[in-house]
Amino acid sequence: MFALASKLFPHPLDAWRSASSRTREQWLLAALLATPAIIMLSIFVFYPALQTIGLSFYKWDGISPDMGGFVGFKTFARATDNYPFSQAIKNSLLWGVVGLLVPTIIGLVAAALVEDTNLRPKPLFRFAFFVPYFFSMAVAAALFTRVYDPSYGMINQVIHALGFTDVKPQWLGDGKIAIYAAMGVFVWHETAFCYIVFTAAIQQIDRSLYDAAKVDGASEIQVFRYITIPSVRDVATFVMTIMLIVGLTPFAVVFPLTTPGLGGPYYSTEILPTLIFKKARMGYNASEAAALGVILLLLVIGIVSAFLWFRERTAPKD
Amino acid sequence: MLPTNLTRYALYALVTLLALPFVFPSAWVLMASFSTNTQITMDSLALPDRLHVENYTHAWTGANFSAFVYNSLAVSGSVTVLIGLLATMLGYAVARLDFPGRRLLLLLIMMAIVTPVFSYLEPLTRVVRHLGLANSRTAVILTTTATFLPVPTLLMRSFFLTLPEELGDAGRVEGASEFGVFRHIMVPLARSGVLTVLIFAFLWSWNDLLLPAVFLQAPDKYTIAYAITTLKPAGFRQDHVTMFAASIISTGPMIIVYLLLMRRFIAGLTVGGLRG
Repeated sequence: MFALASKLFPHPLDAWRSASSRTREQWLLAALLATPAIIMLSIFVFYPALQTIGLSFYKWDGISPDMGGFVGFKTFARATDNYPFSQAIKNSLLWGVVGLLVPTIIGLVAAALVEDTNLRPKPLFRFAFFVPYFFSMAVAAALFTRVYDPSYGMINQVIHALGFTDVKPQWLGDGKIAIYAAMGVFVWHETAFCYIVFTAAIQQIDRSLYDAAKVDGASEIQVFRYITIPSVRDVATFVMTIMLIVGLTPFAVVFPLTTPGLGGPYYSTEILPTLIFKKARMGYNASEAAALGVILLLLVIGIVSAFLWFRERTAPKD
Repeated sequence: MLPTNLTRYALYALVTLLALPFVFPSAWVLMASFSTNTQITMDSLALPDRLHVENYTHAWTGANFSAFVYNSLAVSGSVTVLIGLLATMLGYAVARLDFPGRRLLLLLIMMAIVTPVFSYLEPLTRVVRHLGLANSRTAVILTTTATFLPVPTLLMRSFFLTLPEELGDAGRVEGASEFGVFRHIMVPLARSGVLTVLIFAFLWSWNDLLLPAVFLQAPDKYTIAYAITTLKPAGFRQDHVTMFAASIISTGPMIIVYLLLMRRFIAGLTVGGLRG
């Protein structure tokens, strides 16, 4: 029994003694190279993340010197049993789906259209699709408060110029459409990122594949379906994972876009990060912020793992 | 495959139509940044009567955006250097060095990727307070570096994995130390991967809003993204042109990165950075 245990968990010192000098050198270098990063991650990620989990079971405002009592799941019940929370969950899930699909599909189609055809001049088209990324997400959102303005905003002015003089949607003021307007800014900005990464991936595809397909008489759409899409599969998984994580936490869009800064009319644009920000920074409710943080953590881990598992399972076997 | 001119024109029309929603708002902002507030509220689609360059000088000096640009460059520059160093070091360790706990370390890095910073926001602010870093650019730099580090690390890891191990062994035969193999053989070969990571780090830290919003209280320390979204000096909400001009100013470093480095960024992304 003990022999088995020591085989499964060899004592570090035994391993060190039996290691060659070259192996020892690798261990020392690994320690040297990894330690600074591990210290950074421990202080600023792992330690506060573990604290969040602990804190979520207590009742504490975040200011009092004494931490409140242990209340079990009561904090969770209080943090989740209200309208803003259900709105936030609904919006976050919808936003996750939109983030996963819309910028990636537009970005991929645009990249394929520009790279796989003989459009000229290519750099101009590449520049055009990348332009939104010159603005940071938050700046883009701040600008779109003007683009969406019901009277002088760009969109309603264009609608007006097209002759629809009495159509004046309140893009951000109408609780029914504010969340879609917010997602519009997200799609506008993040498509550029997906576009540039897919452009890089498509440029890397072996050109002889295309030539062979053309000799066989494949149409442009068949080339896209049977050569381009399978070739960029790994890159697509990377891009979609990033979009999923960003789409579940689009704080930089909602915060600047909505007045007074933290949510559209009647919580219509509420998302978990804005709720957490309010409770942690303005509401002085550390425990509820922590409980919501744990929920967000489980949500992101669950959805991203499910997505990666799905991609793994549906991967072509070659 | 597209023999006739007709399909060619149709293709141009299609791509232009697809690009329009991305270009048009940016062009509108650029045009409006040279206009006047009166003009914008009357007819925001009309060309300005002349180029009101004073919007830019007002944003730069009057609204103090020179300071915000400096803050942003200081924060993003430091984050970029730190992430470049740490991601290269950690990425090499988990890719190429054999040591106990390597798989556990890799698992921790994966966990860090899917742990959104929002979920531990409140404890993080207390960590920063305990370190005596409240209301400082240093707090933003350190927290941004730590929270963004995992993805660049995995990029560097997959980049190092594409380099042939024989090169390292050749160095070892020549008598190079393990550190020598890392520093003088592997890192120079991974240059384009490092560049990719540097650009990612710069783009993402320049983009970030949350951490500056959480850790900076004094307006003179604001980064440009945070300043544009939250600063409301007298009448700033009505002062559209200053805000537009400031936004255009904020694109400067990104455009420079794009024009100088994007070609190599794309090359670096595909030499192996994103595979496996």
